[in-house]
Amino acid sequence: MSLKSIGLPIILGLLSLAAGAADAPPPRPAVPGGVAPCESCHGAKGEGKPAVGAPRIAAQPEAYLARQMAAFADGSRKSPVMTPIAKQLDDESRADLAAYYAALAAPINAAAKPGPSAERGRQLAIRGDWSREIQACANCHGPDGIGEPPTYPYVAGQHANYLAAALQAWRDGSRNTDPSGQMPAIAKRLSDEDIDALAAYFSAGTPPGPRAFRMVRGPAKAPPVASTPTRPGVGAAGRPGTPSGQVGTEQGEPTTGGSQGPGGGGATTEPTGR
Amino acid sequence: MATRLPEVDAVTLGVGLVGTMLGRELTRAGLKVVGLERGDPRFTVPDFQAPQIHDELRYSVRKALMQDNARETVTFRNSGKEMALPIRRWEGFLPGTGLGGAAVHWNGQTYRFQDSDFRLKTRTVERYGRKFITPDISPQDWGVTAAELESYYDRFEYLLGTSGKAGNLKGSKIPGGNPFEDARSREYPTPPMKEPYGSAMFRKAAASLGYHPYPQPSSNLSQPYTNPEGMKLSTCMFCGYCERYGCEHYAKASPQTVLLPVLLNDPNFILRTNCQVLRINLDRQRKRATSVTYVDAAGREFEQPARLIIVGMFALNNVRMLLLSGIGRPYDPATGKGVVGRNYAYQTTSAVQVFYDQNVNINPFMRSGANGTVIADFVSDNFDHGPHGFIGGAYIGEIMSHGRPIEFHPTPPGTPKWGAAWKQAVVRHYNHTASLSIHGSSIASPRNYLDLDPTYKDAWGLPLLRMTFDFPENDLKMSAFITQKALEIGKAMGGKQVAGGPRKGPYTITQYQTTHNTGGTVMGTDPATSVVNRYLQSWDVPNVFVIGASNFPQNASYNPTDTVGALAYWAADAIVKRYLKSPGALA
Amino acid sequence: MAKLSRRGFLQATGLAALARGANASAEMARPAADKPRSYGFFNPQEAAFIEAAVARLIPADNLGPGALEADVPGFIDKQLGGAWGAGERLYRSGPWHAGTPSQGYQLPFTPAELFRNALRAIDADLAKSKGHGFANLPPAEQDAYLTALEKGERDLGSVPAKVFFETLWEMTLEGYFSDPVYGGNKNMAAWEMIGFPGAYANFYELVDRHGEAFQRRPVSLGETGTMQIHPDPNIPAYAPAKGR
Repeated sequence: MSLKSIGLPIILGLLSLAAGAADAPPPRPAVPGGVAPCESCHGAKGEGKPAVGAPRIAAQPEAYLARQMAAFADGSRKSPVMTPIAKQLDDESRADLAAYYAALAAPINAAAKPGPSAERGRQLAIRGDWSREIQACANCHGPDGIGEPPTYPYVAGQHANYLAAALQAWRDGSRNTDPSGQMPAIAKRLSDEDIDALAAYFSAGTPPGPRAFRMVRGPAKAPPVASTPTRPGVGAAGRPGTPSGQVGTEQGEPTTGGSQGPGGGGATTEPTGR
Repeated sequence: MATRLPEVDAVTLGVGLVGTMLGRELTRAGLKVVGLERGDPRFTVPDFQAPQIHDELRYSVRKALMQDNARETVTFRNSGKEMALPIRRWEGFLPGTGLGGAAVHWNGQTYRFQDSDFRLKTRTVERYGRKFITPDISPQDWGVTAAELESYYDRFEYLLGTSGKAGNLKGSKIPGGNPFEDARSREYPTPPMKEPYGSAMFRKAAASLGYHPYPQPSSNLSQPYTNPEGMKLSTCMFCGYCERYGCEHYAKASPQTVLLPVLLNDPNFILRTNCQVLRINLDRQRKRATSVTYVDAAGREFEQPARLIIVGMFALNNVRMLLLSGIGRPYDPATGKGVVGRNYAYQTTSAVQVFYDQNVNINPFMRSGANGTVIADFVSDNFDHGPHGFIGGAYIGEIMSHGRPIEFHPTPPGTPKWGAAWKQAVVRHYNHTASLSIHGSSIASPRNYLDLDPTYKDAWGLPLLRMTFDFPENDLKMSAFITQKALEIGKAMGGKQVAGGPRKGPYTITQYQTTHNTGGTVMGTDPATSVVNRYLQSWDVPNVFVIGASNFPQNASYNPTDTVGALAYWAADAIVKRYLKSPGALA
Repeated sequence: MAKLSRRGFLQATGLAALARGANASAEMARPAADKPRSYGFFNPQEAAFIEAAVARLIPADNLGPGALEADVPGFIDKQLGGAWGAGERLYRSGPWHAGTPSQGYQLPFTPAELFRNALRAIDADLAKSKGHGFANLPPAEQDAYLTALEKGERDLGSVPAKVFFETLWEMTLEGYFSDPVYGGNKNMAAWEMIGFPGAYANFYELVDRHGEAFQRRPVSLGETGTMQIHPDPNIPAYAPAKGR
């Protein structure tokens, strides 16, 4: 399977959905008032502008984008361009911009080719390097670098010079926006060559399109990408009164556990008895 | 014919947690050490990397990291009157194999046993009288105290980077920690992990009932940490694939993340993987071990002479190795004489589930191996056993570690086992159920023991270990009493329905309960009731040290790993500071 | 800079609708039985039983696909035809004794042998009692027959009916909820149905957002061209969009 093929189905699915549904809104959101200054560097569709070091932001997870703007505003991420802009935005405006760009589908740069050091980048991306205690990028940045919404951004198809600059910023501590501390720790183990290799590898990947993600309070309705229309009613639990099945209950335990493996039971036991 | 190799200073049988720790301490003391590991070499990179490590079928259900039953298993029966039959596939407990051993696939729960656990018999007699010990149990003291082990616990936890909150710092009680713990000399290396939703509801409910909730001590780390060996660990990401899996993030303390790379860089340490040790060879007087015999993956037999032998395998395999090698007198339940295989114990667990309204989103998959909140109010001798007629205890906690759906799909009592109503119940309850664990002690019984099976053999033609075990009445009483307390907490957690019940006999190997198999090479101060002395040195063959949960005279309320690590450092200290200077009996 | 009203903005741009409506992702809703199934282990008669039985064990309804739609039969077929079916990790030495329930599985059969023998006996049993195969029974009678197997009330010769039923049920569960790379859980629909996120999982920043349901399309092991261990590269984790 080629790298390019990965993100495509998702994008196609969403685009066809938006265009096809009878009551659906126009496929492209209207441009909010605050967007114009962004466009000058990040492009009309959030595709970024490598010449000025501006990353592709289209379809990045909403929460990730909002956090970056907050970080530019409070100084935990430094940029002479972004800091003054972010400082002018209130929380709500940042949230709106994040939502706007998270839902944008920008064209993919089909001309991007892996650089000469991409093989080393690929190794780091999917395997890591035991000799320097570097784990694989894929652990958090998703299959082929398409990210893990809402927290971890996609890196596939990102501009190479931005990727390299971002890794350098993580490494030298000028970017410190990861509460888990994972990213700075990993970046500190990367050599200059590793950073170039990662940039060469990921920049030639295929970025994903917009993806639905939600954290929802209260009763969960249909998940955003459910293949099925409804969730069960409250009364859907089983008939009362009958004893539960034998699997996992022979010791008087509930049918399934959830701590330390299926400690309280679980249905994966070998057949018992004769 | 075995090829005889040049003699080395020491050999470790198994390169798991104990083999790695002892390998490190002995090479640091200048010894040339060979580590013999029966399984594969494996490392965080590439073997534990995502996504392949996040495969429930492969690792949890098919048990890819566990000992292959087709080669070696254990035979089992509930009582001496039955014929033991081989455990043809693991379910009830899961012995691991491979470099790093069970400390690769453990959950990271890192508890210290209490002084009342180490002096179980003395304390019971002092507080409740000699008659309180019923004939179905055989509790005994360990020969060490919590105060003696404190610095070794401390050193081990700082090796792991354990995340937690002290409750007793040098005698001062610290709010938020475990008020029942013995004094610790300093705080945990890293602060507690984040508290998941179900655990937070447990904490509130337990506190409202007057109990003392505290964060479960965890060796899935809450923040980046560099240990005294210079190894760097990272933050646990709450992926929900911990027990039965390796950690891709360098976040779970395991030999691979805390020590092995340092050891493997030491030219005095030689690792040999895929090497199956068949026996320890003794001299003519059977007072001194001279070598070990092992077979490599190509079937070639080797004899590795060594001056010092560290038996550091999984508890069950430690016992079997002594039996196969004729070290120590095997236990005979008919006479009560003999020690090897005596006092095999386990863990007495049960569970309670709290089924919530659909408004309450638990997100069971956002968990780590050792996260969550527990209470120690019913641990060990932290409550008055007088009215209840049993000894021992259990912790209660909301410590769910995953929401992997083949294993975890809770349904309330009364749900049909399959069909449309089962499916509806699974969908209804998957994200709206919290599960409490009741993790209890297992007191040794004269009826429960390990010996060699007379019938079944392993792939090398050697007798399998035979396990004879059932829960003593004492432990079932304990489970009934404390599971009732857990049900009360469950009711206070605000769910719509609470389900669960105590452990009941007979013990079955068909349902996973725990892999905390303990005893069989018990430590102590009396050779008539122990296999090794208080420094874990064989009474019979002083250049053999046996280290692991097989040393536990009975199993305590808490998970065993912290105590195994502390004992390993305790024994290493005695070996390096005393034994090497004057090889001979240390006690 | 102008302050934007989040709610108004979302309404104006239709983003709320996008988030809400994304569930129509076409490939997720694709019906499972586009083409006839093919099997490597089961013969047609065996397959007919398995397909009909798993459809009763986990039926299709408005919550999500049943075991048949999730291609659990395909999963079981591959498992039985491979190392698992041949007794991988199974201690197989005799002597053989029935044992007690606490001693677990004590039959000499590998999973493949267990299924072969049980399915042969079930066909004979049904031919005698009903005159035709399981697949031709009405659903209520199918349920009754499965229940009889579950309770050990049918004589399957050398295979205890109970043991066969439990094995079938366990493998049905495994095929329903395991990663799609193994052939079942087609389109990850069983994961979606319960809200399980799948193989890519990092929740450090979400675990303390108490009470909020996490809703994201699950991700399979197979959704990368670079997976280190791929049990079957020919099985896509989800159906590729047409025209690729």
